[in-house]
Amino acid sequence: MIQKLFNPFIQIAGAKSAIIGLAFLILSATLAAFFNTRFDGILDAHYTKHQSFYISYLDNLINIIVLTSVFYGFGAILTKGRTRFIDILGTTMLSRFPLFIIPLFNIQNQSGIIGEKIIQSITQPNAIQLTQFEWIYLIISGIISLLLTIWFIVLLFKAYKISTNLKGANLIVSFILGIIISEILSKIIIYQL
Amino acid sequence: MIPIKKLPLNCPSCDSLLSVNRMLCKTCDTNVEGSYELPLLAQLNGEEQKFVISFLKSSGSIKEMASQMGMSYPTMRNMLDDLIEKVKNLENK
Repeated sequence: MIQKLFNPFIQIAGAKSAIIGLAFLILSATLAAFFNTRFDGILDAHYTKHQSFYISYLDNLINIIVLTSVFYGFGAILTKGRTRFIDILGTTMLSRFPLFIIPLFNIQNQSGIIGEKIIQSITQPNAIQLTQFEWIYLIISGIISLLLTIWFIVLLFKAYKISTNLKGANLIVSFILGIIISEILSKIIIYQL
Repeated sequence: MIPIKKLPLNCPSCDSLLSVNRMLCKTCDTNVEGSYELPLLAQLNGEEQKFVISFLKSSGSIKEMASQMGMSYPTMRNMLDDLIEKVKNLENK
């Protein structure tokens, strides 16, 4: 069970994982639009005042395209063309599935309101303070969101490893570089559009 | 239940690859003694030998093997690549 949660790619990869990943991507983008959440970067999730369906789907699409292109590029170079595009695409799409839970923390704009209060309390010392419930909500949702992001990174690492069969320093260094490049690229593309 | 005996490949004392010293004909009890190197395939461990046999049985189709074993295509391909690497290393020894 644990292996299936942290490395489902031993059993599922390629087109099959792309289809499941696409279903989660649609779910994730739809929930993000409903609950005003922006996945504005491969590692980002921010709560906004209003989020359109178009922007929501576009954000998720850009994240997948950037991640797949960057990791396929590294894989193709380091394995001398032995990496299959469909494996990278499918496993990368499926690796993002834990993130669909994050928008649920913004039901009734709860996280957005807390976020605004925090910003106000920084700029205006006399602004409304957070209630005890809001503090608890903030801490719990923050911890769960962080754990979900870590889960996504672990899955992404396993996806890259199984799709390329890279080992040792080549695997670790190219993965870290891939994450950094993807984060920068996705941010630039999302805010240029 | 009779325990499954595994063919030892390496010396338990110094870990070097073992060679065949003696063979027996079970029909007439004839013993053959000499020094014979283990063939390349016999130098692979049990799991690897099973993999090679499955690979042959599925006519070299990784896709078919993956579906038979309930594994993904890249998992099987990686196992094959690792095995190829091991065979190459054994050949170069």
